[in-house]
Amino acid sequence: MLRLPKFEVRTPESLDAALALLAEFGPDARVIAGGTDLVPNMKHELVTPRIVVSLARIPELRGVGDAGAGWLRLGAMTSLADVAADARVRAQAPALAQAAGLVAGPQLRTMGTLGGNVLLDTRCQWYNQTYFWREALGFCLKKDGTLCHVVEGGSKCVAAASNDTAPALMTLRAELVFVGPQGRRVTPIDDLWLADGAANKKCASDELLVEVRLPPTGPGHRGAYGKLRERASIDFPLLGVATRIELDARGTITDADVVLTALQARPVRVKRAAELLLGVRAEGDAFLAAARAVADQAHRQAHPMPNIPGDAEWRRAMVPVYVRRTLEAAARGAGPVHAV
Amino acid sequence: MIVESLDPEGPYGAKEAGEGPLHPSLPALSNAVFDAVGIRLRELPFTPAKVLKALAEKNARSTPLAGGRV
Ligand SMILES: Cc1cc2nc3c(=O)[nH]c(=O)nc-3n(C[C@H](O)[C@H](O)[C@H](O)COP(=O)(O)OP(=O)(O)OC[C@H]3O[C@@H](n4cnc5c(N)ncnc54)[C@H](O)[C@@H]3O)c2cc1C
Ligand code: SF4
Repeated sequence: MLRLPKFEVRTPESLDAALALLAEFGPDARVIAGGTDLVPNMKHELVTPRIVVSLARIPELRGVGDAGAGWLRLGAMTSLADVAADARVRAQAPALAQAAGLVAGPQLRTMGTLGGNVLLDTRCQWYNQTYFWREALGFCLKKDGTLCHVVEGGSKCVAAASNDTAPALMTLRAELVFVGPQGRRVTPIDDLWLADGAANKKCASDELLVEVRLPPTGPGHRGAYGKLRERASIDFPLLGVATRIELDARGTITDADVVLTALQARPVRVKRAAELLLGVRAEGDAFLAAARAVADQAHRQAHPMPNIPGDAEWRRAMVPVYVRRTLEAAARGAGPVHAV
Repeated sequence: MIVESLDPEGPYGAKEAGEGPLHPSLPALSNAVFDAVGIRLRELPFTPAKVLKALAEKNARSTPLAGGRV
C-alpha cells in the first residue's frame, strides 16, 4: 500500500483567504479541489506540498449560473457529475456535458471538479509511478531528471494532456477566469496551453481558477465528444475528440471546429476543419465526404506518443474513425461516441 | 470450499479446481475471433489494437494494395 506523505490541510472560507495562504507558503502550498489527481500524485511523490489548501468551503466557486448576455458561468469547484447532468450545459454546450460525463467513473466524477480537470497534470507511463519505481529507472525531464524515456535524446517532455473537458471547452471558445495577487484575469482557453509536457499550462502556482465561462450558442449549435479507451470504468482518454458544428436555418454548416487530445502535451486543433465543412448541409453523402476529409486531415496531423496505455499505432488508426463518428454524432444531435 | 478427494497426482493428494476450467475457455475465445474475422491471436488480452494489427497483416498478405477506409 502506498502511504500519503505528511501534510497539513487548510480550509479557507473566502477567495482572499485562499490567496493569502498561497502567497504565504509559496512553493510549499498546493491547491486541492476534488483531489482525484492531486492525491495519487502526492502518493507517488510527484508533488510534495507541506500545506494543502482546500477550496471546498468557498461557496462562490461552486455551481452553474447565468453570467449575463447569454453566457454561462461554471464555478471551478462544480463537480464533473453536476456539469454532465446540468440541463443548461447540455443544451448550450453538449460536447462539454458529454466529455464531463465520460471522465473516469461515477465516484471520480462526483469528487472530481471542472477546475481540477482543466488544470489536470499531463500523464506519462514513466512519470505516473512511485518514487521507488522512478528512482530505480532513473528520473526523467518532467521531474528530477535530465532525459526522456519516450523520445530518445529529446530535450522536451511529451507527457500527454489527458483532460477530457479541455478539447470540448476549446471548441466552445470558453474563457477562464483566474484570480491571483495581481487581481483577476480572463483568458481564452486556447491561450492556456504550452507545448511542454513538463508544465503545459500558463497558470502560476499562486493563482486560482475561479470559473469557466461559456459564450452563448444558438439553436443551430451542435457538439459531441468521442473517447477512445479500453475500459469504460476508469480509463483516461487514449484519444479524445471534441467537435462543434453551427447550422443555419436550412441545415447548412456555417462554422465548425474539431480538437483532439491525449496525443501530445497539449490539445490540438484539426487544421482547416471549418473550411472543409463550410457550406455543406449536415446530412447525406456530401456531409459524409466532408467529414471524411476532416478525418483524413486529423490523421495527417496526429502523431500519438507511446507514453500512455494503448498501442500508439492503434490510437493513430482510430483518429480518423473517431473524428468522423464524432462529427456525424454532432450533426445528428447525438453523442457521446465510444466503443466501450 | 473444501471437497474431500484424493488425487494421486497432486501434492499430499490435493486436487486443483481453478486451472482446469480455464483451459477450454481461452482457446474458445481465440477460436471465436478466428471464426469471426479469420485471425489467430495467441497472446492475452485480445485487445482491439492486437485485432487491428493482425487484420492489417492478414490484409497485407492477401491483397498487397488494400488500403484502410475511414
Ligand atoms: C482512476 C482515475 C481515472 C481518471 N480518469 C480520467 C479521465 O478519464 N479523464 C480525465 O480527464 N481525468 C481523469 N482522471 C483525473 C481526475 O479525476 C479528473 O481530471 C478530475 O477532474 C480532477 O479534478 P479534481 O477536482 O479532483 O482535481 P485535483 O486533484 O484536486 O486538482 C488537480 C490539479 O489542479 C489544481 N487545481 C484544482 N482546482 C484548482 C483551482 N480552482 N485553482 C487552481 N488550481 C486548481 C490542483 O492543485 C492540482 O494540481 C482520473 C483519475 C483517476 C484516479
Ligand atoms: S514524456 Fe519523457 S520527460 Fe515526459 S514524463 Fe514521460 S519520460 Fe518523462
